[in-house]
Amino acid sequence: MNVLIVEDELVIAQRLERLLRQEGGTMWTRIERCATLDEAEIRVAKETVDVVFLDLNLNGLDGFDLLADSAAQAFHTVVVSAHTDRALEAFEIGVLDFIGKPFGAERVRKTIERLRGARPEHPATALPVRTAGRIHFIGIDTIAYVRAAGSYAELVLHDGTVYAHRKPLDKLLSVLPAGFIRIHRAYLIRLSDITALHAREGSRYAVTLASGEELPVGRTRVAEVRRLLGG
Amino acid sequence: MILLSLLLLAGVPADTVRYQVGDDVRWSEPAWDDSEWKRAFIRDVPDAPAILWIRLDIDTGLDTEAVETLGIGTAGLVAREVYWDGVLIGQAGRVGTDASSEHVGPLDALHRIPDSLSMPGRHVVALRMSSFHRPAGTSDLRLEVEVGDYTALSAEPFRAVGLPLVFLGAFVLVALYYLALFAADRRRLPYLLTALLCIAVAALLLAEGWRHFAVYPYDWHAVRLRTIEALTCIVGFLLVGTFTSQFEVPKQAVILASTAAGVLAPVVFLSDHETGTFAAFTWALVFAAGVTAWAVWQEAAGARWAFGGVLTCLVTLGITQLDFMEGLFFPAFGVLLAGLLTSLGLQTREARRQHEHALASAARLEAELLKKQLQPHFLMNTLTSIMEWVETDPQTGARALEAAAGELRTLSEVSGESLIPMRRELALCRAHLDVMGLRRGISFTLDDAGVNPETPIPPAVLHTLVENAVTHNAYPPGSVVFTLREIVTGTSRMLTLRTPLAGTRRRTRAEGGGLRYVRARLEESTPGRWSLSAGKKNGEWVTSITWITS
Repeated sequence: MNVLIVEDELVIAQRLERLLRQEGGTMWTRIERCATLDEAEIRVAKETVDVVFLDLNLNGLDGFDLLADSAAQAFHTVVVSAHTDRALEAFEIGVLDFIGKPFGAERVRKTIERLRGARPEHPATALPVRTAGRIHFIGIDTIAYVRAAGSYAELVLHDGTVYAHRKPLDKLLSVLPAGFIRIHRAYLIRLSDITALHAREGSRYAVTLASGEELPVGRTRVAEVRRLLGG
Repeated sequence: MILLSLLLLAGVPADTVRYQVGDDVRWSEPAWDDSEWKRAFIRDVPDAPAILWIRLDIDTGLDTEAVETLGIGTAGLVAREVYWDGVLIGQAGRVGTDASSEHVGPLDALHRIPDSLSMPGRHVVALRMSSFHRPAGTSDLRLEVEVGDYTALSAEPFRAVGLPLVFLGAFVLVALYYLALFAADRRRLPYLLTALLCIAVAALLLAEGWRHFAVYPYDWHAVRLRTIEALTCIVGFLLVGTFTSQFEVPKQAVILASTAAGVLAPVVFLSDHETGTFAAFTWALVFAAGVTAWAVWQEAAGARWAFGGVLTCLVTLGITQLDFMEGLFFPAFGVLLAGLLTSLGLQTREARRQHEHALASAARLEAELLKKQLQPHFLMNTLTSIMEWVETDPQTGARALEAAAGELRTLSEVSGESLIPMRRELALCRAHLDVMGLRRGISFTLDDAGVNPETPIPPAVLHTLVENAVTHNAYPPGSVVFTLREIVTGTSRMLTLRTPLAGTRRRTRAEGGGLRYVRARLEESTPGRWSLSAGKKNGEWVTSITWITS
């Protein structure tokens, strides 16, 4: 996993790197640090980054505008900030974790657990997407399901509108509410939207949604879906 | 009938009389032919250095049943005998042929007319008088004759003092109120002056009413007039003094001296007390009008009310002229005083508002400064760094803790001040740079060559500028120098802070909370006498503060 720490406080950046190495061990392929957003943008564009640790008050800026931008990206965002009062706000737009300053090894361990697949403390209520250079917030309630499109995802809304999101399905699943499940390599849906599970020819399966739409269920996931549907 | 009775009850005042110098006991008889005597309005009968008679006709009307007993009231600066249809019914003092033989009597006297003589119809009143003790400063004999119901006439003095007594009470109360206000807030001289003014007016009321409260010999009349004159001068002077002090008029000494001269001149140069009093008061009003008009022009709080009050008084005086002092003085002065009190009240309210505003803004600045230090970004980042040092480099941690503690201590000490010496401000800046330097791995230097360590400066102003520079630049680890210079020209002092620009192409908000704080502090310590400029120059951020020292 590749990590980028964006923090203008040298000692804090050093601390975060030290604790990540201490708690994550071999989990990290690379850990890099930078002190400005400009530098961070260059890094993210050039290299593969899986998770960004972002200080919200870089160089006196209010980082919340940047946060939505970051959360719309393919990588996971972990906020590291003194403004713990804004944690909920950050979670709501889909950050994986929020580390309040000051922090110790214990707190960093928790973040590592989340990176390994645990759900965040608060699920997102809206997902920021970047279209035509602008950030739009898509309310989770308006999403019918999410499907894979190459390394990106597509958010399919109830009204049929489709938005591309840069995060792959697995990363999106980790910030969506627990009601969302993966029924297929390429589909995330809300469990409560399923009206029926059908067997189709050739030992294939499908679910019917409340809207009438039918989506395929992966062979390896049928048992789990059936269990979640209660029989 | 009823109308007539009312007329009788109110009394019939005399107007035109016949007069003759000389003495003849038959001149009292109704039948005496006085057609050759001179005629004059009763107040215009001239004084004579001898015995003087006046005769006048009184018609009591047809119906005297409505009144129980007739009475005749007389007043004048004379000893006198009063004849009713040739019968001597009373005397005030004893008429004499010279100063030694004349006995001074009371100014006012009321005599009962025997029932046997008060039949309806025309009667002849004759007064035999001498005035050898008439005091200087009185222009005429002040003769008055009034016939009417005896009971009603004897109640007249009490009726005359009713309204003035109400005013007297009001003036005394206002005086006490403002004395109490002054005792509570000694810096407000107008309070004391207003109280004194009210006391002087109350005294003037007493002097005016003296004649009704207590009968006095006619040769005392000048004493009363002189008292009134003196009190009027005091009232006039205090009036102008109050307005001058209240509206903080420039050249107060000149105004007060002119007022004193203007008020005293008629008193000194006019022999007649009443004309002198009138002129003195007119002068005072003219000055008061000038002072309050200036205040209106300056848009002083409450000035319109004060000017309105003075103007009302002046107009009333212009219309009634000499009768003013007798008739409308106190009501008109009441209006003036109401204007003065309203303006004082408005001014007090305005002053309190400003004071509260200043207090609130000082408190706000102090709170803002302390909050700045407690804001999570600064505090939590410091704590996080300290945590790291505790675990990896305790020595650096101890140094950082010391610097941070020093910065917080100094800040809490100076936050309530409006000005502190430069050396404390510089110590504050250096403590902050130490903490930030350790946190960011930068060696900050503040070059303050030539800056006077005793220059007074609002607290945390430079500190805020330094803090902004550290926060808004992404200085790479290494060394960074901030330069502070002071230029003094005359009373003007300019501080310039130059900080290198580094890093980020994203610009922060044009005016952050920091600069707002700096502006507010400068305004608090040098209201309206400062300027601040900030901008990019030769790759540096240059902030200049200029202020005029008083």
